[in-house]
Amino acid sequence: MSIFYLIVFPGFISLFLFSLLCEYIDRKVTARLQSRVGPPFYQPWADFIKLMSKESLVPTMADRKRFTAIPIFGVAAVVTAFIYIPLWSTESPFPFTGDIVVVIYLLSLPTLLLFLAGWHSTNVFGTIGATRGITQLFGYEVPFLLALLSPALVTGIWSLSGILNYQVEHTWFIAYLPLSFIVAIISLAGKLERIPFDIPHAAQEIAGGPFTEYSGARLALMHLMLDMELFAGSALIAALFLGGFDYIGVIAGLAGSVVGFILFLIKTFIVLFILICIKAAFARIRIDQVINMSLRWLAPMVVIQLLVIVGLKFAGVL
Amino acid sequence: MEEREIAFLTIPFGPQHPASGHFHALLKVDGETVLGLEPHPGYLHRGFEKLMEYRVHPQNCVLVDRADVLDPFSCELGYANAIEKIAGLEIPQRGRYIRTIMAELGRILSHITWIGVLSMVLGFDSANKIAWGDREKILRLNEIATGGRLYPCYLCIGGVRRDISQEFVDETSKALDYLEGQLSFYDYFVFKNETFVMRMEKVGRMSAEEAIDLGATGPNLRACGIDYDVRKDEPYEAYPEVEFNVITREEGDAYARSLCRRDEIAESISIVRQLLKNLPDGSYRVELGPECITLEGESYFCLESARGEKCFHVVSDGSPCPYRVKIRAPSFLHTLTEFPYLAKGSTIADIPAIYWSLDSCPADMDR
Amino acid sequence: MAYLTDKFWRTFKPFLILKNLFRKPMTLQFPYESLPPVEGYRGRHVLDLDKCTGCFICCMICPNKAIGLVDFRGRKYPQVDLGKCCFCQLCEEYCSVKAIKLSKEAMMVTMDKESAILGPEALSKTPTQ
Repeated sequence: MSIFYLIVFPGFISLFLFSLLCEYIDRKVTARLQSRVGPPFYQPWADFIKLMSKESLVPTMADRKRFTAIPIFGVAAVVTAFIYIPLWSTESPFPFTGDIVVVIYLLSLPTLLLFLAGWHSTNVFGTIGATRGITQLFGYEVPFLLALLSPALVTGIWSLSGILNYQVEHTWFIAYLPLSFIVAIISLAGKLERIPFDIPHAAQEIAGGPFTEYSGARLALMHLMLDMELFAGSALIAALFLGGFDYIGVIAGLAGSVVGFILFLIKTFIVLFILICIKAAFARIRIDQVINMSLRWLAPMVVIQLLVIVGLKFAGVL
Repeated sequence: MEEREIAFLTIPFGPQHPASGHFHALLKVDGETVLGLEPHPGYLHRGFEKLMEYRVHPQNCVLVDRADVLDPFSCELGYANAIEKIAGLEIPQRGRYIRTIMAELGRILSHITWIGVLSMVLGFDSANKIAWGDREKILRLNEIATGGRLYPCYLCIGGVRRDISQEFVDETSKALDYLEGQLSFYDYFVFKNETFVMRMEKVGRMSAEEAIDLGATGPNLRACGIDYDVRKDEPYEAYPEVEFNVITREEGDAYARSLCRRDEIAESISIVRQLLKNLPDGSYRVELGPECITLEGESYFCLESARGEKCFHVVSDGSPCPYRVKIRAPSFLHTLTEFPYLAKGSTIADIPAIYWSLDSCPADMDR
Repeated sequence: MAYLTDKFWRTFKPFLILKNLFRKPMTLQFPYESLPPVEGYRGRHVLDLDKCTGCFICCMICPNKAIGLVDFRGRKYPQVDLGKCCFCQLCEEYCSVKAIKLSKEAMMVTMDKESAILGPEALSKTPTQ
């Protein structure tokens, strides 16, 4: 049964299909916001198959094994992070105390892998993109961690199932942690390197950044890693702040789980929609402005939120 | 003090690049700071001025609009006026008005294309796509008046090649109303967008003396506070008969240049409206006749294209083909003197912002 | 204070682009929908075989030397190489008998360079638009 969970649902195959659906929604809604038509629904599939079928070149001075291992590690990290997120009930297939920390750690692996990818490319654009990626990590990682761990601070339980239990019994965390929600979404945009934070692979200045030397199947896996990270990150925020599968009223049994799962997908797409609106409305900002903005606005916002929570707990309200 | 050796990377800001158009430069970079920029022009050099020496004047008129692909009307206007100065021709009033209308529409087209490409280069995807859609309105006007969208082949020696129809006048009014609405959209979406302001403010700053030393013209010069516009200082065509303001700003940075161009779009819209209201009747073309094969003389004609001051120096020695044609292209100085000067000391992320705020067209630079 | 309100509007007003979701996109999906070509569009050349006198002016005035003369029905007629032509309409302007004109036909796509050279018989066919 656990093999089924790992490979079919909610493991590799269903995450693959959901992340392609996520990419389609991203591209279609962005296109409509820019008053264009946008690609048809099978476009991400077609891109993936096209990239897999092309020749994959490795630069002469680069280490072939490491070059190939990086995308595979990335996909593995994100799939492992995703199976710990509870999709249809308060418990994921493999729950344990502290799994929230493991999920956040695994979701920050792709940034380090992009750094290694750029470094091992032995290409000047890759080096610059890699250093920019790591510099950006300094900016948003601390607000991201604090924002995502604030539900754990409220409940005092460090596991996703405990947090979801609390949300089922009381209200969703977005009611008491609105600032954390906003900071989590903006930091997620930074982690995923979406506009306005897509400095590391800024195609218009350094043609591709860490992705410059990747082609063929390796590039297909890198793009897949980014799409999966988009879906997994949005799902994590939906689970922590919007109540996951929780809905008003109770339907028992299998039908209840299915309805909960579909609502979970809808909540994930709401988070995705907010990310898309941010992408469509802004330009790319410089790396020093990213760090400036994170340390000046994001970190204080989340710290103020945590102080308010600690104060309320101390006063006995929460 | 001991000497410190700085190890630097050389990055090609190459011709095959989404941000540079078709222009090759090498950046010397230390971390994110740019230590120097070496431009290598010539990727789009087609030998224009030499090729024009093998063709007769009417043939040159239809080919010269490829010398600046983003503002073709200015090239045709310049060449036609230079030849008319040698031949001593007087253009009828309707012809002059139509030429000015088309030149101003070309200026609006060039500035909207500039908004699109600047946004693309700053990573501002949405504004790029929307600006590209707005261009279509003016390209449709070009199609109605001249029969071609990008390369009009319309202004010729003696006037214009065909008359404008009532359909053109109606469509132009509708398009101008649409563009005014779009300008107020661009105001809050692009020019007052927080990320755009963050990228462009205080970047690539030129003082007035530096701008004159480096040979800047057009909006680049007017953004430093200097009031110089060929349309007002040496008027040509129908410009003496319209009222418009010359837009200047004080700061001299990339954001000031952007706002200058945005205001110039508004001024051009008002100029076209005035000209359409007062359009005279009469003939639109004066035939040149067989004396165009035996023109002898030399002339120098300056005009204000969307990029800056463009001048045509034509020498004709009595044979059918011109002896020498020299085009003073504004983008040549923007790219080769101003860009390396402003790029020194900035960061890599600022390079595309500075380059496109100077609005240089690589085809215009290389000819 | 004015600086802060300025910054606030500059950060949030761009989100008004969301109203594009409720409008029709400005793309025309080409083979299925397109704008009609205008009168006077510079497209494919059309030759009137009766009027043409074979006077050679169109060949001389063409800036790219895209027009040549060939034998056809015992006389000389022009042949146009559409690959070299820049569609400037100078041949129509300088033709002494108004035999060669540019029509509105704009769909001139081929995979074979030889078929881009239109002889007098192909030029005399009526345009499809």
